[in-house]
Amino acid sequence: MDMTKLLDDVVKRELNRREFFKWIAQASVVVSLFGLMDQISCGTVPKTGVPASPYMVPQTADEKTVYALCDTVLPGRTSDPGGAPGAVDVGTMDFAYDKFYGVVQELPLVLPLFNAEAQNQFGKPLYELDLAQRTAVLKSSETMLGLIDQIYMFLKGPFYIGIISTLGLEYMGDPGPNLGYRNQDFSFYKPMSNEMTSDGNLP
Amino acid sequence: MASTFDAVIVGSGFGGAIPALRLAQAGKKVLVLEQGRVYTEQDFKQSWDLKYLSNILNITTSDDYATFFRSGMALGGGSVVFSGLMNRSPSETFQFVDDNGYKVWPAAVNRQVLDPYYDMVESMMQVRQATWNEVSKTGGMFAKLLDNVGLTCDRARFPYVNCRQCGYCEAGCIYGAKQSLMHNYIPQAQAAGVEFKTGCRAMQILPAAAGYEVQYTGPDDTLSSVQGTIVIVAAGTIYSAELLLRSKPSLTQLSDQVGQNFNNNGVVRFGIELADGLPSIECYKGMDSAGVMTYAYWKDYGITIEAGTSPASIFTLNIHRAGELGWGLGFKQWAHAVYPSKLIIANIMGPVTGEGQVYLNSNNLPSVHFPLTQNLSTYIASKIAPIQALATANNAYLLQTMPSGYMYSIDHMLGTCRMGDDPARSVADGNGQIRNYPGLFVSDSSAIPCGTGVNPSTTIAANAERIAQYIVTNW
Repeated sequence: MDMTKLLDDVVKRELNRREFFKWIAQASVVVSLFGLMDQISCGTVPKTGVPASPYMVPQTADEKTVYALCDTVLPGRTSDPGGAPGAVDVGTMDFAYDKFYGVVQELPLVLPLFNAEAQNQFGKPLYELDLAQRTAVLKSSETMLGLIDQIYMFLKGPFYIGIISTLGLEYMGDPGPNLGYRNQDFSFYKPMSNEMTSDGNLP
Repeated sequence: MASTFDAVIVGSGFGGAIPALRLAQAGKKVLVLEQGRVYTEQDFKQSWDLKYLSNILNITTSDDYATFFRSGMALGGGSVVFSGLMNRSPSETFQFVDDNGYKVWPAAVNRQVLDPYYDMVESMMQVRQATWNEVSKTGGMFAKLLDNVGLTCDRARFPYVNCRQCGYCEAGCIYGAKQSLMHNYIPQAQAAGVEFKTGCRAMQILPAAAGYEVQYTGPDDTLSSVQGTIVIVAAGTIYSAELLLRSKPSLTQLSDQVGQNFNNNGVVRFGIELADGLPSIECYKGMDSAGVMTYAYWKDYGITIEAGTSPASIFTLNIHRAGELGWGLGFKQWAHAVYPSKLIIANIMGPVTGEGQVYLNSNNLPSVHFPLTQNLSTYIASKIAPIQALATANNAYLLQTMPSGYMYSIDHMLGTCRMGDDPARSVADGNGQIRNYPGLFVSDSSAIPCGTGVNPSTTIAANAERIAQYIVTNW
C-alpha cells in the first residue's frame, strides 16, 4: 500500500474543500485497513481507553456520530420498522473501536463532514436525526467522500461476516460453521441439465 | 558461507511444490522457501473473518484501493485456499491473440502438449468430475436457467475425497476432503528429501559463482542466504514479480516486462437474483464452487462460467442492485429477501489482455495497478451481455459487481512474469527460463501469459510439471 504516494498527492494537490474531505477519507480508511493488518500480524490490538464489550454505548459526540453511521448503513432494531437487527446490534461499534481502532483514531477527520452536512440539511448533528434524515445526509455526502464503498464494507462486515455476533448471519438464514450437508438432496434439477463434454473438460 | 543446493525454489504452491518433487525424484538436492506457515486441518476454521483469513492469505489492494487481491500464504500456497475447481484450459485458449495483436502463449505450449502433464496433476491430486449428486442446488438451478434457453451445463472437476459440502473450501478444508498439495506433492517431496523452510520471505536474487544466491528473511527476521545452481521463482503473480523487481539491481539484464501484463483471468463476477416462485436453492450449502461449469458461451463469446455457492458475507459485501443503494434499510431488507433462497453467484472467465502492472512502491513493496481500462470495460460489457439475456429470459435480475464502484475481490492473478516467444514482450521463454539468466526459472501463475479460459490452477500445475521435466532433462 503506497501510503507515501497517497499522502504526497494530498499535500501537493491544490485542494478545494470537497477534495480535501475526499482525500482525508481515503487516507483515514486506508491507514486504518492496513493498520489492522499490522495489528493482526503482530498479534496485538491497542485497547487503551476502549470501553469494554458488549456492546459499546456511545458517550462522546464522535462516538455518537460513528454509532449513527453504523445505524444508517445497516439500521438496527430501534430504527428498523420491522425490528430486525442491524450493525449496532452485532457489536460493530466494538469492532470499530477495538479491532479497527485505527479507523476511529482517524475518523474525527471525517466525521465533521457528516455532521456539517447534517447541520446544513436539518440543523442538527447526524446523531440527532432520524433514520430517513440520516439516510439523506449519507446519500448527499457520498459524492464528497473517497472510498465510501470501503467504509460501507467496513461497517457492514461485522453483521454479515459474524465477526463478534452471529445475529446477522441468523437474520440472513446463513447457519455459518457446520458439519456439512452431505445428506442433503443434491440432485436438484438434475433432469434439466445437458452436458457438452464427456468428462467436464472442453477439448 | 551460504548453504548450497542443486535447486532453490521460492514458493510452495502449484508452481513450487510440483518442481520440488520432480527435481528431488531426479536426485537433486532441493530447498523450498515458503513465506507462510504450515497449516493443517486442525488449524483451519469455518470462518470468513479477516483476522483469521489473514493468517493464510496475503490480502492487498490495487493502488486505487478499488480491488482486493487474495493469494495463498501457507505451505501449499493457493491450493490451500482455492475453490478446488480443476478443469483443463480449452484448446483455443492457447491461440489467444491480445488487443495488441500478440499471440501471447509460446508456440511450443498448447493443449496437446500440456495434456500429459494435466494427466499427471489429476492423478496426483485425485481430480475427477463431480457426480450430479455432488452438484449443489445452486449449481442445479444454474443448469436449469441455461437449459431453459437451450444451453448446456457440465459438471466440473474437483480434487475432493468424501466432501461434506460444508461451503468453506476457500477458508481451508477442516475435513481434509480437498486434496490440496499438502495431501500429495508436498509429503511426497518431503519423503524424497526436499527441505521446506516456512516463514521465510525471499528478498533478492543475485548472481553467484555457480548459479544464484537467494537472500531471505527467516521467522526471526534475520537475513540469510542460500545458493542454488537452479533457482525457481514461484511465489505467485504479485510476489514473484516483486522478487524479480527487487533483484533488478543485481540481475541487470532482466526484461522490462517483469511486473507487466497483469490480468485477472478475465474474471467478471455477477449474481443472479432468481424470479419469485422457485424453490429455495439454499445457496450456502455445497462446495464453494457449485459443481458446474458452462461452456455454452465459449464458441461465441470466448468465456466459460463457473457458478458458486455463497456465504452471506460474499454476497452482501460485494453485490447490490444497479441504481440502488448498497446500504441502508432498503438494502438490508432486499438482501434478507434474496438470501439464501434465490441467489446465484458466478464468475465469467476468459482470455483477456493483461493491462495491469505490479511495481515496487516507494517503500520497496509491491503495489498493483489494475485500472479499468477501455479494453477491460469493453471486455466486461461484451461478456456480460449474454448473461443479461440469460437473466431476462428467466425473469431473473442480473446483479453485476464490476464495474459498479464496489470493491472487487480477485484471486485469479496471472501474467507478471509471462512466458512468450517474443523477447520484447515476455520475461521467460517457453520453458519458463528467464531470458539472459540460464538456470533461473519461473513456473507459477506469473508465467501464465493470459487468462486460461477456466479456473487457472490446473493449467498452472500442468505447466509447472512441464517446466520441471524440462529442468530435469536439461539441467
